[in-house]
Amino acid sequence: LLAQLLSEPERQYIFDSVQDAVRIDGRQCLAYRQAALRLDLLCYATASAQVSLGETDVLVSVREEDNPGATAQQQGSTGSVAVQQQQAVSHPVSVWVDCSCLGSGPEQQQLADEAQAHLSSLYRCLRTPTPVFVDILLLGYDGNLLDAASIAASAALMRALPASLLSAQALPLFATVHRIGSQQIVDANQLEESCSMARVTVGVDSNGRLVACQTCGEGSL
Amino acid sequence: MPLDRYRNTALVDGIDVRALPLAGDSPAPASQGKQQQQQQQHWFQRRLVQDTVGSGYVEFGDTKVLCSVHGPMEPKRSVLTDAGAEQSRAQLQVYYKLAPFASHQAGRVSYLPDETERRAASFLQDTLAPSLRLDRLPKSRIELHCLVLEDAGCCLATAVNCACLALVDAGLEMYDLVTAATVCRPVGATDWQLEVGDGSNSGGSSSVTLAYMRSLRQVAGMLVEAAEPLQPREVSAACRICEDPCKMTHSSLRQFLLDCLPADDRTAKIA
Repeated sequence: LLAQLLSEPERQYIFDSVQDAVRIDGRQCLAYRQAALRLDLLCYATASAQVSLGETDVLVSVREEDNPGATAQQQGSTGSVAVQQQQAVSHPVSVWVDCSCLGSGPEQQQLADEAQAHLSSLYRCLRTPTPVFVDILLLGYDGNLLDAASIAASAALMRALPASLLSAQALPLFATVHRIGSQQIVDANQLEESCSMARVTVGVDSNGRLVACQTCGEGSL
Repeated sequence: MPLDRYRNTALVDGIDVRALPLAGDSPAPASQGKQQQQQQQHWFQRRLVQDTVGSGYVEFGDTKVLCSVHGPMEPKRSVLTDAGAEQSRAQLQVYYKLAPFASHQAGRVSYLPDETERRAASFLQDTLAPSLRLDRLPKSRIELHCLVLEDAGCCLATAVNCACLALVDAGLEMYDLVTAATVCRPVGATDWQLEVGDGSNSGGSSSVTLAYMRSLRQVAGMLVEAAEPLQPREVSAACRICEDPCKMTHSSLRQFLLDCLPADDRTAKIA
């Protein structure tokens, strides 16, 4: 990834300027980049969304598996399809993250694995009557994958899930705060992420309640 | 070390055949044997694995974790790590695996690492890296293999404690010992309880794991797994509750390490 080729003076420059509350693209410390959200791009998915946060571009497709009981029990001895009684089973949301557009190295795989773990824990409280598969495709990366992916995935899930389910459970979003020296910044781009000591990623729903929280990075807080 | 009637210390040097179960005896379940207070105490052991630089073994209740450290060794080279800045610190690589027979609830665990185990490995890596002086070992790699032999609750926190013990046993320089504790709360309950290794925690509860460095008074890692949405003040209350067990574990680990030293070195280190 691009940021690993950063030289030490450049890293020091970013670090020092953030201490003075100046970021390299001129934003405030707690300001997000310009974000764009597009919905319903894919015809074969139940719902889809694309979010671009600066150069970070994430495409999410949500598929609901229809009538899982029918696929489980096919032709019986008489040759007719026996449909299982639809049980009131609640399924967790299954998340898959694909970073293959960035390349196939171990760093990209690690990014994908980490994002998958975080997003699975974000939607852990969400239970759906039919299995729901959320596939996240990373088209471009300039930092802050988790926030962008959570916006896109929650937007797509809002379109895909019935309104009755949504009113009971508010869909959560991630907010990632990086710590660089003594300053905290949000929505770090790739260069700032490489300079940060540690980050805290918090999943919050619309009522302000936490659904996930994790510290990451090789620094202490 | 607390007196533990169900552990035969003769195993350190040799095997006492009287402790082995005879054919026809029903094996006594360990969880019934241990007293309540012993469930909340750690049992440390080091130098169990022969061909490693350092190793540690921790029991917390019925949860048993074994860690081994390999390195410093040749770093993994890729096109990007040939840049100078990346070579100035050692790379820490953590592998975390549950043994196939480890889990009480889940039955047989697959031999391939699944998502939970990969997540635990990255959590361990992020937690231990702040305390290690990786800048003292440029152009090298340290591998930490963590194997959970029995998971009866509080597995991740015990793994952090065990990994810290293994790294100290390997002689790697550290800023401080990292100790961790977990508190959990079933869905709908109001109080956080310390999770101990007695298998009482079932899957459907929220948990907060905190890894703390006592001397530096800094948090090395925090993981919140929520089974229901939580208020932020509940999470911060849970972190405060975790602090005391972390400090106690820090003291007992430190005391164990001091006791392992030869007698003449001990007075110099305690000062």
